[in-house]
Amino acid sequence: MVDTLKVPSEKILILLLNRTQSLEWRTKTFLEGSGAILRTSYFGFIQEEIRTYYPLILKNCNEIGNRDVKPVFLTFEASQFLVSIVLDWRRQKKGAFAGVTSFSDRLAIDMTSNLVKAAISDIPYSEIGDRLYSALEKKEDIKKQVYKEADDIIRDYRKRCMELGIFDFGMAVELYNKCLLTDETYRNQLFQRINHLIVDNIEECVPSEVDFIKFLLPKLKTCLLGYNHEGGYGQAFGSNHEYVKQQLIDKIEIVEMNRSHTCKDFMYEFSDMLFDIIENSTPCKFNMRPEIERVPALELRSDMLERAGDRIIELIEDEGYNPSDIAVISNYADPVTEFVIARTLERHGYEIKNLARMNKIIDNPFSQALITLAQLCHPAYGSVPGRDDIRALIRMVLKIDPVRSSILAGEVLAQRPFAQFPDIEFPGLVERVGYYNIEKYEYIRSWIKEYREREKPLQIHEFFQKVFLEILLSGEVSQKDIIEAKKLIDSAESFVNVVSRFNRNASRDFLDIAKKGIKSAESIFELEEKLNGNFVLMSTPVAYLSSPLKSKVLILLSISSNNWTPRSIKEITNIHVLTKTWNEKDIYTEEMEERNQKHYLAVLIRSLLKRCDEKLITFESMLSANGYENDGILADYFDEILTK
Amino acid sequence: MNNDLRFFNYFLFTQQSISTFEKCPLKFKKRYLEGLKWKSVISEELNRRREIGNNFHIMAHRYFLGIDTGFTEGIEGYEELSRWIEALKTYFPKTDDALYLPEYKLRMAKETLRLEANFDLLVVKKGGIEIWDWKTPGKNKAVDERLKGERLKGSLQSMVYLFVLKEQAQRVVQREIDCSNIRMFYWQPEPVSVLAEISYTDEMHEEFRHTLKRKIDGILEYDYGSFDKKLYRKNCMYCEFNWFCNNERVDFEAVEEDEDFLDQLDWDSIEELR
Repeated sequence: MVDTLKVPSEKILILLLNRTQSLEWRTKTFLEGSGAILRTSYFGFIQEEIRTYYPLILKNCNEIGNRDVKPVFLTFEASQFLVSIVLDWRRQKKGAFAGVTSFSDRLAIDMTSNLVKAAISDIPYSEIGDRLYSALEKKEDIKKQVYKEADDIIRDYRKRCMELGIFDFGMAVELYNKCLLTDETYRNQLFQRINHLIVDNIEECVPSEVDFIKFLLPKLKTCLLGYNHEGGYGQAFGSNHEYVKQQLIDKIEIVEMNRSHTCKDFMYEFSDMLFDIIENSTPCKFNMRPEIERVPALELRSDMLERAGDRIIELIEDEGYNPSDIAVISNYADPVTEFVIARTLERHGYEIKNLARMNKIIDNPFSQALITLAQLCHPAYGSVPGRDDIRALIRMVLKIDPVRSSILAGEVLAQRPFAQFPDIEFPGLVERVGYYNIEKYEYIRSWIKEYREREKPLQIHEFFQKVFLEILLSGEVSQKDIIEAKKLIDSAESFVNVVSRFNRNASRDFLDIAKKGIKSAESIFELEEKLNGNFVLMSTPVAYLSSPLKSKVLILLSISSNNWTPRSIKEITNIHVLTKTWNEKDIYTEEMEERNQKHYLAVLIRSLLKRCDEKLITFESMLSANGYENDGILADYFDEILTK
Repeated sequence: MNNDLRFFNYFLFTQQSISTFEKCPLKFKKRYLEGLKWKSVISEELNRRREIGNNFHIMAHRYFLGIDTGFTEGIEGYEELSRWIEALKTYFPKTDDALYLPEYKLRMAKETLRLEANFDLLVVKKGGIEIWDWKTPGKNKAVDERLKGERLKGSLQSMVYLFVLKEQAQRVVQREIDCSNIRMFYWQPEPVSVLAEISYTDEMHEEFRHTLKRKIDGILEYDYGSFDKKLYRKNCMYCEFNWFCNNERVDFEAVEEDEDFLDQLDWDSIEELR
């Protein structure tokens, strides 16, 4: 379009699902010459529009108290933290959420995502609780109370955020739809600016994005929508394939792509059969082929993971596959799973990388050391580091053996009024630290002492940077550790910038959430490395499907686990009820739940198999990671369909 | 597989990345090839001025889009911004015979000449195209404007902006534009003045082509194995990576005196991913 038809690139809006897709499109949108390239996600687009046209929002919305030049956006972590603060307070002081067993952190995640789901489905935030309650099969007063309490918290949280001009994803969507799309000046400029639209994977679009596409359609010169009629795996993120079908599909000309470009014919057929048997119980049989390999169930999950690791080695060393030809799909792609397989691979000089962002900040020893130092330097925050953490810190900076490190850690903790490195005169200290290390020890000790005497502590991200550079950085620090430290600093900064606006000590709050296990951020460079490097890739099914990847070998782990069919009914949420296609008068029954679970599994497995080019290998274990018997349905369908 | 970003066709050079390379190839590598955005710890006052400068850019963008600038009482730097925005409106009364393109981006990739320019404002008039760049006042207001203007005229920014615009002008106005119809201005809102004005010529265009090509080829051919820290020592004091390379503190007082520093704080993003 840009080269041949001379369309200005900034008139073309390209909406994609996520950064992984965007990286793929970056190479596709390479041009010899162009203007700006608007390649972004729906949420990214909305945020940018709100930022530029913020004065129009201020004019059209009387709920925003802070009339700043530009808005502030909350990260998921910050919004969950803010909700969990209110929630904890109400739980403890007012006895809210009686009978609810979920932890506050989990409830906070569900409540903030409820707000997003409501916004993208045009459901007023005040009606979330009523909608969920009226869909219940068993209506109990205690449930009604829980939904009301959740609604109250969300209402207060939203009100405070709006007053301050700080918005999460849900509020951003609401503001965009209610205050910008309704504004004539904005609409005219939007139509003038955007003449062409390209959207990939419209089946995974959230309802408000569908409405936005529909809204733009009559004014566009061209529109290209990539549609996979077999998709719909993104429901957990609020996508609604049914709504896409209702609203968009009959309004556009369809160009069929009849054959699959990502798998062979037999796999195409097999995946369709598997879909049919799961979705419609259609009896069918498929002759076993060497390309489909079912490894018999092992007893323990750890055995299964080790066996999978061995099989990957065989694939690479005996069957000639490259590590990057292989993808391991697990519904439980946690650091333990990654570690067990990685250990086997490492022995042979190969690596595995996890596409699903599961790592926590504190999983990295270097970041943990920064957090421990922060605790030691800020006694006023009242957060005492654990003995193991101090031991690890001492080992890292002074390089002394575990036993002496541990004794020294005990002595650090024994200091009063707050843990600190003992004075050099402390009995036995020189022997423990070692004569060679005394200078470094004294440097760190006085550094901490000086810092504690500061009139005002630094903000936590500034502290991390200072302590990293002045204490931890040495010639032995790897590039990976520097990047980890950088990610911690970045996460801290974005958190502090937002949370401090709520009149809180955001530095102390960040230390708390970091210890609780906030996920570590991922740079675009790391993502690119995962997608392009010669590694075995590990992923959850949805993270894999939302990327543009396909693999020669697909390894499915734990196919007898019931993690393949997650329940939609949760204590305070339900993805099928909080969406646009739900009829408010209906009751969400257990039969519906079973049907939806099966439908999700059928869609997921068919889509996964269609990304498998040559070989499919399945693994399973009798017991789950927690020691329960695995009784998921996916393995049974494989058994039923495959004949020798 | 070679993962060196320099060789990917989508990796575009900007005036800041080229200038960073010239100051220190290792700094370029850390910032642009490894994506290590290591922020300098700057004083609250400097942070405040940076924020006000950013807000001025946003407001100017809105002014040229034809919407309310968002200027209200109580915002950070209210008094400065009030004078600057007034100055902008007075200096640039929008007229119907011109097309205003604020925050405009142009990219080009012809062989190794892979470049990106982010203009504060392009004004398309019957007689040609003007590039306008905002320079908000720094800490040291008593700076010699004539000297500053001379420095801007010969800057990499002028070279990259003018060259890219001439090469890509057809995308902006759907017709070829002669060099003589392109001009660039550096404008400051207080005291209101044009710090530098450059009228472009064919000779300059050819000279810039060669210079930019030579500079970019130099970056592409650079062998990091031969990096000699001593050659770039004079920039270490200002560099946020001073701790990494020399285990020495960064002299932030000195940094703040550096003329280019405010510009560098918002050094260009590598990607438009959001």
